[in-house]
Amino acid sequence: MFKSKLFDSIGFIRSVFLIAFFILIFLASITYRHIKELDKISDSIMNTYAISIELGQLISYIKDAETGHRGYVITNDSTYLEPFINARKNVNLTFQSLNNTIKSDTVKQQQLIRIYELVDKRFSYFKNNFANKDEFNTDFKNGKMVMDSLRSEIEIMLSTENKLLTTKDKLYKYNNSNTPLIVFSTFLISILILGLGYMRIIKNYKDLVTQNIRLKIFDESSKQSEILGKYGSWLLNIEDKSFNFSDNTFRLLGCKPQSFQANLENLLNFIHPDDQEIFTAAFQNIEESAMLPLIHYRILKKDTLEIRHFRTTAKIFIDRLGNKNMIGTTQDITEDYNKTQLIELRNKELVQNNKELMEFNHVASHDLQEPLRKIQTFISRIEDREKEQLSETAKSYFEKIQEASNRMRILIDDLLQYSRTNRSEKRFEEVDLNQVVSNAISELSENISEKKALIHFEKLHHVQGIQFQLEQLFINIISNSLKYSKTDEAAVVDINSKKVKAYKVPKLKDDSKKEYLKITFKDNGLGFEQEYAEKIFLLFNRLHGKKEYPGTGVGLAICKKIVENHKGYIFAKGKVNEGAEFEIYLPI
Amino acid sequence: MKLFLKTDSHFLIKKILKEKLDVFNIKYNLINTNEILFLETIDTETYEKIATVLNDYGFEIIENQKNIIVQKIKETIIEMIANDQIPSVKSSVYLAEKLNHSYGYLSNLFSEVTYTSIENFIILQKIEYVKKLITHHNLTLTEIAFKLNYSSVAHLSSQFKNTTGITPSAFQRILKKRSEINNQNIN
Amino acid sequence: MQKDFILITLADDDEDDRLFFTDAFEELKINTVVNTVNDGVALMNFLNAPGTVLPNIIFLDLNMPLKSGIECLKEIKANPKFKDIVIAIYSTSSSEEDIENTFVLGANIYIKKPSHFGKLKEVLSEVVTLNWQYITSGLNKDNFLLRM
Repeated sequence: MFKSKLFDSIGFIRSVFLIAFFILIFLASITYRHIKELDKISDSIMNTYAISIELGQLISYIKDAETGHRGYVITNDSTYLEPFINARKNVNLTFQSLNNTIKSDTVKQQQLIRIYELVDKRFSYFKNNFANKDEFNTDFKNGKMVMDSLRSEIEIMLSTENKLLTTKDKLYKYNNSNTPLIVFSTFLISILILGLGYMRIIKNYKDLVTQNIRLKIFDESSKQSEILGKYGSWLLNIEDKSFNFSDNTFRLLGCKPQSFQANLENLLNFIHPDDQEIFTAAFQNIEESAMLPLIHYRILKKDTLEIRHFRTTAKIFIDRLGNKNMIGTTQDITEDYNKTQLIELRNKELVQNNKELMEFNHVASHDLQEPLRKIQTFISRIEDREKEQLSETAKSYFEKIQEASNRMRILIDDLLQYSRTNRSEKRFEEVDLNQVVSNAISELSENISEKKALIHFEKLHHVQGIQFQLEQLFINIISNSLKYSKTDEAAVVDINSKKVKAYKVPKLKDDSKKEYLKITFKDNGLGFEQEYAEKIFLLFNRLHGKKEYPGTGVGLAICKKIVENHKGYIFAKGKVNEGAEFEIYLPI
Repeated sequence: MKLFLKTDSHFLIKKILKEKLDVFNIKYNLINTNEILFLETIDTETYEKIATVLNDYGFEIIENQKNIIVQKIKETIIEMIANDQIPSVKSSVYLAEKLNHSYGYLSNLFSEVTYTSIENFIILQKIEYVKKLITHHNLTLTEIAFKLNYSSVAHLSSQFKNTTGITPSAFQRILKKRSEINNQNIN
Repeated sequence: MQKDFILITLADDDEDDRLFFTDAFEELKINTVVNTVNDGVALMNFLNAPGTVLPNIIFLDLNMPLKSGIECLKEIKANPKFKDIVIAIYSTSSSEEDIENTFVLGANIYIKKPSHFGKLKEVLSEVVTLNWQYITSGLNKDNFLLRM
């Protein structure tokens, strides 16, 4: 459980760092792009400035040439021509540098070409010798016109440059104001993410430490429990077939911990020769079946040289690194084994004893019948023919003999019936309880009419059972009610059945949803003290004297036996002089 | 002196019977040495004569008038049950009317010859009929009780048990098992 | 009427029981001829002897030395020659299993030996008369099951 959580947080940390990494790359690229942009913008600003300066320079050179020329024309002093000549040179230089600056811009180049043509034209009006004043005047006038258009052309160019400058300036300012914000905020985010990652790492580390402590405790306790529970664990690397035994595994074999090389060959030396085959066979197929089936075998303990019974099972386990290991447990079950052997033996003895007892019971009661029947038959013959010839004393003795033999007959019959409820084959079939009641009533018809009894039964259910045993059960319970009925009141027995769930009847002590058929017999007879409710089901147990109510105390014991044969329960409720109620629960 | 004889008693009996019966001029068939079928009705006088003649030779007429009446009673009862004609009147009245004798006479006669009473015989026949219905027609007890005019299944069941000592369901089970065993033996 | 007697054979190893049985029939005054054998082997020898007139009813004790009643029952039922004989089990046992088992094996009557002589007479009388019904009224002997 904690393992997967740990791996999850590793994934989390990995993604945190991945996100932070990408954010930083993003940040770097944005910064780089911004710097690049700024570079470009400042380059073009410089460019614009250069163009404006050059253009201003150009005008001033032309003006110098004009002034020089004018001076020369007025004075005819050739020293005035020097600035004119220089101007021409400077103008060319300026053009060259301008041309360099605006190489890439065709619109500006055309403008420049036009300016150059105008400059050229202007210079063409600078003449050293004028033929006449008219020519001078015309030239002068033309020169001024050219100069004007030149000025306007330059003005246009300057103004576009200026406009460009202002927009670029604005962009520059804008960029300069946004960049730090973006960079800073992204930076903050990445710090935050990293912080989160850090916190998680710390938390995981703490978890790891506590888990490590727990693991150590667990390791210790498992070592202890291995000793107490007499088992050892081991690890088998499927690839290189190397074993790793826990300390207790060695101890179980009667060796000091880690005192020999843990492998299959060395292990086989301990195993009982008869069981070696089972052992090796089990290890042969471990890779295909991915497990070691539960095997039982014996080993010879090295130190005490006693034979112990071991049990081993194992499972293949593939860890996160993909290593295929088999984790196994070996247990010393000698004590359990011996106990089970003993229990089995005792059980066998018990079953045998029980069987013998039942057999004895059956044979005794069955074989006792034979002589008793003869005694009774002879008694009946004497009674029919010779009784009148007996003396009075003999007659009364004879009657005593008759009574005693009758009582013995009842005892033997009941006992036989009791033993038979155990012996008979338990053939379950669907039994209609209505039919069972009818048969019981016809069986008891004499008794019922004698007592003027009323047997009421609602429509009863069917149940899985042994027909004749259920009949016996009903007969016994009804006849019990008839026997203990009041003398001054007609006996009434109410029988009904209904289905109930086990958990709804607490006295069944069964919390399952298993269904039972609850059959209730309620009479209006003498009843009994509730404290005897359990006692009445015991064999030979009687609540009344033999004289008042003849009986053997077997009838209800038979009922209990029959109900138990059907895996059911029987309960009795009674109240003196108000009647008895028998509840029977039979599983459906 | 001693003589050793060999006789064919069969031949002898036949010869004697023929000689004695031919005197009466009645058509008859000798089915067996112990069974004669007369092909015409004979009056009581002739019957007595035949009886005396045969008696002289050690023959005794087994089948007599009483037996004939008893047989008739039985037949009437069997027919009555088999035809589902359980009469609404008492069976005693029914029998007296059918056979033209008082029920007291019939009853005494019946008991004398069969060692049992007419009532018992009726119950026995009814139960036998129930058995037949159970085994051959696979009827349920409820259906049978209805068919034979029993007041309830319980009544039928208890009468069955009282007559045979076993319950109808046990009867059914026993016959089923028997036929299973027989089938096994055949296979 | 003298010749309307019923032939009865009892197989029982107990001398007293044989005595009760024959005495009962004597007192009953039904036209019966009762003969007794002492065990299962004797019974089968008697039945298989060439001159024997077969009985109408055989009363079989279950618990007999040499050959038990059950074995006799099986042998009798396996032989078609004996198919008309009614078999009455006559035993001390009242075990439901014994009873049903003998019925399944083909017995017609099961009598638990009564412990009163008067009762014995009643039972035997009823068996014989009922058997008489089966013979004289043409009833299906396969359906003849009686438990007393």
